[in-house]
Amino acid sequence: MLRPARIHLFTAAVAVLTGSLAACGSGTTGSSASGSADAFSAATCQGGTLHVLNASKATSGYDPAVLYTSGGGAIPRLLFRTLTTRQSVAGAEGTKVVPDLATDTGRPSQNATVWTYHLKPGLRYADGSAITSADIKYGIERSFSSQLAGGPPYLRDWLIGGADYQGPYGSNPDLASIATPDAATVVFHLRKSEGDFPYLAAETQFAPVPKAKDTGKEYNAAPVSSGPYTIASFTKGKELDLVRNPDWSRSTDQQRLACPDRIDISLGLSAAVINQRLSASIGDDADAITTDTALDAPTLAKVSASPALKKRVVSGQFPDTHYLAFNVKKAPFDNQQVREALAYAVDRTAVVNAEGGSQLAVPSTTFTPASLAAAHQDYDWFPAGPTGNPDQAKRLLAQAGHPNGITVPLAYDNSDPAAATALQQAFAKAGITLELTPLDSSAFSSTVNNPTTEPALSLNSWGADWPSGGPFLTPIFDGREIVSGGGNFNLAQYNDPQINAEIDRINQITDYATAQRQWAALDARIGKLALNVPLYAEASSVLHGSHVKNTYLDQWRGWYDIASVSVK
Amino acid sequence: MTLTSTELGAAASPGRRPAGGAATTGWARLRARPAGRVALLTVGLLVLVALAAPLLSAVEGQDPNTFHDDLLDSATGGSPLGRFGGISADHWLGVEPTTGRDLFARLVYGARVSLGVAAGATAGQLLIGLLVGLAAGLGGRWADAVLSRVTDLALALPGLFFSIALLAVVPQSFPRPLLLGLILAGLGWAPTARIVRAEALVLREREYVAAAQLTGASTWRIARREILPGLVAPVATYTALALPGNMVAEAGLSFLGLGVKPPTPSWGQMLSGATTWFQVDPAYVLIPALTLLVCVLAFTGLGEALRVALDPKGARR
Amino acid sequence: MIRFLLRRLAGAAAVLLVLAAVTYLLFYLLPGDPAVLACGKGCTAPQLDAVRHALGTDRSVPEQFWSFLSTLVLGHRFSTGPTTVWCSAPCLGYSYQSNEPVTQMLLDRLPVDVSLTLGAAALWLLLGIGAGLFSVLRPGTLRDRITNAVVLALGSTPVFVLALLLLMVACVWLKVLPFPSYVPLTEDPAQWAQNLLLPWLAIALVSAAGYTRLTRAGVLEALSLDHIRTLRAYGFPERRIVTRHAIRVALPTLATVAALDIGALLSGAVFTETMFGLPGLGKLAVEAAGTIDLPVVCGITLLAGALVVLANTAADLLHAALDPRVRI
Repeated sequence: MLRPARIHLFTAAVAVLTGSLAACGSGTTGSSASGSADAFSAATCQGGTLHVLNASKATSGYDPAVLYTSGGGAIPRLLFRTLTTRQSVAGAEGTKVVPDLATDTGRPSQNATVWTYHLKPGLRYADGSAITSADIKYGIERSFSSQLAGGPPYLRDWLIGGADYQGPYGSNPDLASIATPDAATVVFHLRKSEGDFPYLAAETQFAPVPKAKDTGKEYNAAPVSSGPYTIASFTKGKELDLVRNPDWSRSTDQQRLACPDRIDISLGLSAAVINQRLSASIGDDADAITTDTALDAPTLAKVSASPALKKRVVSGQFPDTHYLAFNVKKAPFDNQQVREALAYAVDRTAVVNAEGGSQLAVPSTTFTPASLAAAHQDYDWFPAGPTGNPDQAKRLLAQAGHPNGITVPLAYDNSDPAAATALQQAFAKAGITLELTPLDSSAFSSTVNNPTTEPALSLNSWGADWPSGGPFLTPIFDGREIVSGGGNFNLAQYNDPQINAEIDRINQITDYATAQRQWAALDARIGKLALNVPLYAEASSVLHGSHVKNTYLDQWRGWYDIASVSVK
Repeated sequence: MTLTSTELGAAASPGRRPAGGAATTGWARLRARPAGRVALLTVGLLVLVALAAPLLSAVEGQDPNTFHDDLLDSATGGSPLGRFGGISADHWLGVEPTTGRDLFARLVYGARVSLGVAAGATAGQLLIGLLVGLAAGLGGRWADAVLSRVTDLALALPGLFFSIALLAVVPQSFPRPLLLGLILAGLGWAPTARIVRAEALVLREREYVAAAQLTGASTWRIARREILPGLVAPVATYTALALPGNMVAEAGLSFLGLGVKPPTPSWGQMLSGATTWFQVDPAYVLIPALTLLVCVLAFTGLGEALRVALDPKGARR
Repeated sequence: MIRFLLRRLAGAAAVLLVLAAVTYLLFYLLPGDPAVLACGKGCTAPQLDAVRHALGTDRSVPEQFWSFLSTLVLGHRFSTGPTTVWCSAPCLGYSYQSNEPVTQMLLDRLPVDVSLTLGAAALWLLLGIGAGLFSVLRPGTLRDRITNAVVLALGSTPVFVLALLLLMVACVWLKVLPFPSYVPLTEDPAQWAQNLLLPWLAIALVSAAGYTRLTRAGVLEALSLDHIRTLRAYGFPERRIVTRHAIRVALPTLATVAALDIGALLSGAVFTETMFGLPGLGKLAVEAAGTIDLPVVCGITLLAGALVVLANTAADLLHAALDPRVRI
């Protein structure tokens, strides 16, 4: 109960900054099930109070510019409507992007460098005022302010002039690449082709913010709602109570069922308390879910022993890969044979068990995990078997000129030491001595994500911001994404013009299925270079109260879709 | 948030301060008391276990760092197969969940870190405390004023914060157990310095010291020959009680994930990993918890017995 | 009296200043950049510079420390983007990581530690003094020795081990209590007490030892005093002599120690809070240290230092009030 939450790199910033772990789950191919015996019907699901038991303290509140979510997140999606959003259905269709405030998912032109959206008519905020295209533009502009840092990096990279723009509060308040020819139309001008733009448009940065109500850093405590609920009361670290937004109209929103009349969110509970209350499911807790606390290994062991509890567990798998990253610029990993040796020496069984067993981790030999089905192609170029192939590793090391083995330091985030020790003992069998270098999360990200200080070997993870191969592969393998000064995720520091060109080519494809097949092929091609060693993909299981219905895990984020659950 | 005695449960209260004493009679009195004998025996045993850790785990036929994935049920969170945390003839105290490492081997090797760091930290505290206390007590008004303020500041430092910061500042290549000992010593010498200074101030006024001064002996020589022997009793008593305090402090830091580097086992680190498992695998929790408890109790008992034995009025009890 | 307090205040200010400076410098030296965490994933170099500027970490240490101090004493006007807000003294600035005003963060968490400390203190005084009196009524007997041994054993138990054992017994095996989860006193007093019962017990059992010893020693000392001997000679019952008269001799010391312990505990009990999932200052301190959240780290250090100084002063005043021989 006391172990720090399992925070991986992708969520580190989110957890610390927005206090929301919602972004950590990003899509799933796992099972989906309704927990209740009674049938669920969207027509009669209205009413009641849903209780949410969360570990997050939400100390940073809910500012759509600062939030780093996938597909709009859990609670933020109740407050903010965006140009597009994820489709709220169980199963694979849940990875589809659908229109939300806009009439369609966006019209591309000029080779997918210009994207045009039209707002639906009659959209209103919770204060009754009309939502206009200028509010969408202003909401995005805010996210460029250093006062409101923390959101995803894509807008800065993609929009023309985004790299130098400092937000609407400074001397140059206007970002010209977002045009609003009329109150219902917004046009984005990108500096390169991005077929995935409709997926990005589901992030909270695309939520409207009325300029007159903007209070900058203070906005996160009382944002103006455009979604089905609005904040009745909010005490950071303690509770957030949501009531219906009278100005939200069901007729313009096909995605959010918005069943409960009220949603009471308790913040800052310990994981042990959350899981104990959900297990007991007494009183109000029968109507409770959590949007951020999955079962940990010991609780899973306990729940597995009880058939009654097992029925109330929903499982899913996230497109989130934990991997061993090589800095190819540094010896001995400038030699591909050495990198391959490590790939052969890996004992994925020990790593999976160390992370809490097969229900929490799924061994993976590909960078794009199997759960990101559309963009996945199975390959295992350096077959280590379930427990490693130390003999092959030794042979490769000898060929590479290290007949007596090698000694390398391994940097990892101190909050998750399990995999590091598992690797250390497996590598020892192949003559590879790992010197463990645990770092605090702050020191870890400032050291590892800076190309000049990056160590030769580190343990990292990468999750998809939306269910597509693009955001999964581009930041990791595109040589132009090597960011100096911090925030670099191309940890191999590998820059191959051919691969960069291939990324550009696929980004021009606006047909989802076609693009994903090409991403999958690119992943398999890059995999042959052994730029990193994929270890496992995260899986998760979540408990819910006995009275909650329609508790499927959406496959975009791998979490309950809070806008769909019902307590009626 | 400071590493205060209340928070960590360290029995560091100075207790009654005996005025001078002879170590030899104290030793005899210590052995004469049954509580003292039990404590002495337990402490002796623990030290022996720590020293003989490789031998003991070799007898069991296990190694503290070898994973046994075949002894785990991967489908239920990686919990050990079998009853009582996988206790068997091969694994006397069972295996660790999610890794399958042998708990007996980790426990006996953990004794090395726990005892070693505590002993080193205590020795460091003693050394710094003696030097600062003697310098303040014998060095004249200015030295006293400056050193006393430094001691006050050291007492007011938020220990845990500083431990966290220092553990992060020093590079990982620096040996962690040594670093832990140094940090605990650096943050915990102030009470010893205070005691030494107070005793030195009293002893300085004694006739035999005055006599030594008249013969023209140097301050250093007086400190060494005349004052130090008089300090043995109070300092030994305080030190014996500070040692379990340091042991708890090390366990506490390891418990917060700031202790020795994995895979080196320490009791605090074992406890920290075990806290989430207490509903499923109580053995995993109870083994390090009770070991740490017994160890701290034995040292406290020893310190207490020592205090009574060195007390010239000891016969009263 | 007033001169004493003024002198104390001046001394305290000096100690706190040095404390803040040392803390600031130490955390500044840590490897790791708070701006990297605050900036998030995929942050570019110019963006990172902008965030550093917004946080103020692009300035030199003395400059940063000076602005921290002046903000604390004079208050400061902070930019929120479109407008500015005035943060009045004592202002500790904004957290690097959560963007909250630090003063508010500390005030939000203080009630947890006040609840924890006051309940635990009441319990440890009751248990400690009670056990002391219980043992000293028959000094030297088996009862005396067993009481002392038990108290000593509990007093040397690490609080996190005791907390773990209490949780296992009360919440898992006997199932008489749910896992603790902080409920404010103002919200539901019964729930407040029920949830804090185990934390109180853990701290009290560990802390009671000192009080038992002091009580026992004080009473033994008192029993040899003239006026107590007189009472005895008159044939007053022993129990009455001990609990009404002899205990008074131990009171000044007990009050002094209690004030110091309470002062130290108020600023956070890391292990107790961690074990029982209480959202107090101790946990905040560890979290902030991990993310190099300097304003929070310094804020807590200063608060803790101030509480300790306050407790010291209170202890001296109490001692003077209870013991006629002491004057200030």
